Amino acid sequence: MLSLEHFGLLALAILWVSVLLIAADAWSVLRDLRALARTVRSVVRARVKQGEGEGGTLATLTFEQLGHALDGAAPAIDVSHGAFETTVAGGILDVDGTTCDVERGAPLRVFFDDAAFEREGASAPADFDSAFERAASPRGYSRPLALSVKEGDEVFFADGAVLATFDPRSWVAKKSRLVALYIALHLVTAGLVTGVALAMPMDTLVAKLGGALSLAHFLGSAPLLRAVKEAARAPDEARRFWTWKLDRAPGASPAAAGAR
Amino acid sequence: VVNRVLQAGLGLKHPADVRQVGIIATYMGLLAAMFLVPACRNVFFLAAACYFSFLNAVVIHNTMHKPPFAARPVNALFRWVLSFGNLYPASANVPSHNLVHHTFDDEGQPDWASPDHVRFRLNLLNLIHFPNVAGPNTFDGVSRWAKRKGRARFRTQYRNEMIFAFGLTGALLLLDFWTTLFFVLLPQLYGARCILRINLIQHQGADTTTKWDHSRNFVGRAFNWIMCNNGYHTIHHNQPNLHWSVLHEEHEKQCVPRMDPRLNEKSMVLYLVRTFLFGKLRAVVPAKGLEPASYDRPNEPKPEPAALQR
Repeated sequence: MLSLEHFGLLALAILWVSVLLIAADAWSVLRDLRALARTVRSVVRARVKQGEGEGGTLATLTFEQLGHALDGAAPAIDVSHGAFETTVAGGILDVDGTTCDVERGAPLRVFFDDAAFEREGASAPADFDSAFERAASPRGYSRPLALSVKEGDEVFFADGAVLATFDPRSWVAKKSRLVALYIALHLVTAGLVTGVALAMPMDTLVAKLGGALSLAHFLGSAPLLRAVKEAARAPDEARRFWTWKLDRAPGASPAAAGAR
Repeated sequence: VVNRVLQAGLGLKHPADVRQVGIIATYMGLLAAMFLVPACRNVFFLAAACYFSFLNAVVIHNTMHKPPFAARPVNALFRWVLSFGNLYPASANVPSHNLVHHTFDDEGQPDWASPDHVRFRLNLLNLIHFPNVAGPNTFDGVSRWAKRKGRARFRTQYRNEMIFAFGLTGALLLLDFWTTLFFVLLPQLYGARCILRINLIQHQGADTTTKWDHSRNFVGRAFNWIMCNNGYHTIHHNQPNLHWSVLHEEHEKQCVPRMDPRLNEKSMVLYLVRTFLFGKLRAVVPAKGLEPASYDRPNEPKPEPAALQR
């Protein structure tokens, strides 16, 4: 018959299998970021000289904005983005006086900064009442949105693979640090709680605290992993969330509207 | 006859649901025995409780599709007990399973429990790790879904189940910390994590864009007796309102003539061993590289090879 200590070791073994798998999962995210870092290492500043798409567009990121009405005193819509798609119309970049062709349909990843997404998607449409009515239906509110790189825009261009409206190197470095920090903290805290849980005898308060902390680590590290992975998603696929609120009852004077 | 008598006595809508009530009674009995009787705190009781905890999650699944009791308050009470059994609110299944998983889609984003969320080369690691990914996805998705307009009743139901499940478990932890941690919490979490893994087992490598090849079925009769026919997953996805007790007949009638026969597995244990212990992912996934000529679907045109590739 197994003693309580044996069951304790079994529980710690389960904890550590989970700890190592979560660390390995985060490591795979870090590996992807390092691959992206290698791609953007040779990034150059450029200006879009010519865009072959409509209105001088060189590349476009289209996405769907989806909204659902929220319960609450003030009318509000929970908004998210999804179904991202990049289209490269092609064009010419000016890189320090020399030209660089971007072919139509080239497999480019196009990154826009958070401010661009905010400008395009954070504000509610002018007709909030109509949007709210649709958002309250089971299918919800939706509208297609697009961000474009056009003639005259300053961009960062890397190796025929990435076109960004900001320096992607600093973005990759920041996200890599975040993931690395998570992995380090995850492993260190797992070690610490294990140390406390191994305190003997088991009926002491310290040992029970160790057991409780181990349980908290087991239950809490996976949601943290998710949060880190979401934060490290590339700008062309990261889901963004907003809440549009209106400081008045639906149908009241639009002049009083404060949608955001 | 016994089932009919028990059905009437328990106030169940369907006589077959006596089995579900029996499973939950057995599981709660195992937990109570381990908590109250020191002699029962051994690996045999623990293993049995873990298995029945998984069955508790199966009953949650069935209950959230078709409430078994005729009286609504009894269903609410039953959900409380089930929520305690797996330490998560049973009602979470409504958005996560009934709405999102059954359509394999979250408004253009992948199902919260899509097999694509894990990507270790060694498939066994994917199986073990899967709950760490699908669980947080699910709770994040449920939280967002629950805030929407018109979900006040759901939020109340969800909150009550959460309070009961966590409150009772917390109280037991205060009464006897280690016994609760090893002999109540461990089985609770085992079942909750295993039901998430089932998503990987039933859909990995299957083609969720098709009508008949989106799921893997486990068709052993004994397995399905204790699992309340949850092995018949294709027919369940296509007709979620069917009572679980008729899934075997409907699977044979509707699915078998139309589906890829390799998505019919006799034994889950053999499949798990073959796929996750000895197999390499790409070699064991039936839908990948499947030749259309191997299909025997009298009621459907032969699909093109490209349609079988993910």
